[in-house]
Amino acid sequence: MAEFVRVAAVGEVPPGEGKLVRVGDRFLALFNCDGTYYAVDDTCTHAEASLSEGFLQGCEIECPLHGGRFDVRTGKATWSPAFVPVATYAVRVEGSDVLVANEPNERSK
Amino acid sequence: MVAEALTTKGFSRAAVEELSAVKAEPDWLRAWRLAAWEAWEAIPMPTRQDEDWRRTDIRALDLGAYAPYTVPDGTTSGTARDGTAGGAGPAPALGRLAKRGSDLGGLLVQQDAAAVRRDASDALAAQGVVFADLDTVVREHGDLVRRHLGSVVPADANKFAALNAALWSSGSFVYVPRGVAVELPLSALVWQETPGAALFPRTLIVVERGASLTFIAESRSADQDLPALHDGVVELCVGEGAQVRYVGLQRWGGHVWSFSTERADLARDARVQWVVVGLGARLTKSYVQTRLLAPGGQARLVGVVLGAGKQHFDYHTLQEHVAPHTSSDLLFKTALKDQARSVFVGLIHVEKTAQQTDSYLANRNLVLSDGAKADSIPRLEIEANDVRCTHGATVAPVDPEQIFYLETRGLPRDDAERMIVEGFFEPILEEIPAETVRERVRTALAEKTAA
Repeated sequence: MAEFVRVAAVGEVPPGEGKLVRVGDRFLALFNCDGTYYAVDDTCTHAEASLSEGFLQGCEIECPLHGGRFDVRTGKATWSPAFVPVATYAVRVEGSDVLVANEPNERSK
Repeated sequence: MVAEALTTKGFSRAAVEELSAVKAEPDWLRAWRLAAWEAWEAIPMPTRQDEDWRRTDIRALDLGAYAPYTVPDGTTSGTARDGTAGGAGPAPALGRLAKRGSDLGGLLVQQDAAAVRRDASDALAAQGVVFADLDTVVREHGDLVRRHLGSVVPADANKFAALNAALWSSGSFVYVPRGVAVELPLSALVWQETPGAALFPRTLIVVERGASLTFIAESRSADQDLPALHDGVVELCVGEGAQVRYVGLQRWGGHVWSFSTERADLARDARVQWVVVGLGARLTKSYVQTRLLAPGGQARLVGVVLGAGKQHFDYHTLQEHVAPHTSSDLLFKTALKDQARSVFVGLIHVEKTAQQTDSYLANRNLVLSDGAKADSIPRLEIEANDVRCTHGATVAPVDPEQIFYLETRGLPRDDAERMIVEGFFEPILEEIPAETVRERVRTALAEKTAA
């Protein structure tokens, strides 16, 4: 059963931006797409870059190292050289806190 | 559960000073440690921007969570007690492991930071061989240590080597005089017991001209769930025409962060055979390096790594050819299941002065599941123009035809896979001396493959 951990305050991550957050031993990237928060593994599945340092366009994050892209809502790779989907994490907003699950969502086949 | 620890908390210059005082060390050693501490402070913590650490993320490592000098309850700190003498020795949990097998010439046992047992055959002393934990040898043969300590791995070799140089405790020292052949292998066991302990074993092995030695180093944890930090250094000084076989068995518990810098310097016509076995730890970052400094040197490194769960293994090997007419040969095999990850970076570096080098490097990776990943980066840096250097790497899943063949012979799929993994590693296991040790490794591999 996943637990939810507070990672940021509402408003800390403006729309169109991302932030590196830590949940236990995992490093995640928290994104704000037009007011809704999404969280994925921070490490690009292609080559170890940090997705929180990438470029968010709509709900697509572009990795700063080689330009691979992922849909942050599903984790699916949408542009090469990214092919392997990135793990996603459930996000909840409670009051002024943004909480993220400490375990990834089951990957839908 | 801790009998002794430093009053100074965490890693700091004050901790280094207190540690040296607790051990009543000579001034030269205290100064050496403090210089190493300065190197630690001067070298920045590695990040993924550093080439060596690109694929190994240590952001989750919290150095503040580990105590640099921990002597577990039920043991005595300081000199390792001889097997025959009385007094508190290794904890009962160690049991059978603390007993020297009949195929070993000597055994040192270290628990966390304390040397707790020394069991050696009388023949060693008669041959003039020095074999004891490093703290004891500093007391009894200080000059010998002073001459060689840091000569192969200086404190500033890298960030974690600096920390070990500043805070090392126990470990092992072996000195083999000229022409002496140590018949049976000598062994050292480092046993991690206290949760939150930081272990800094330092191994210094000096083998003089024409001598020979086999040394087996093993690391284990009392429990699979204990968090701990290991940062070790191994220095092998191999003299002219001497021969050393070094076996490193890494079997830490699953919550241990393990860092090590291990290096052998070979003199003229020296031979080193190095066997690396990597099974444990949540993250292993290990440098295994050989330097052929004079003509005629030969180095052979073989490795076996089996990863499971979310383990991360990162091995950086080096075959450094400095003098002409030397040869080296490396074969590393890794098998990974679940979401384990391995990184292998093997470098053959041939300097301008190393004509007629003959060097070979191969890394074979068996990926047993979709979530596992093996990165293999063999590298060549060649500055001479009359050499032979070969490198190769493969990353592959188990051949489905091989599985099918075994299934048609009545083996269930799991058994078939296990047989294939055993067959994959067996040629390297055969290079482990001492039957008892070899069998332990085979058993450990079989259990882990089946799990």
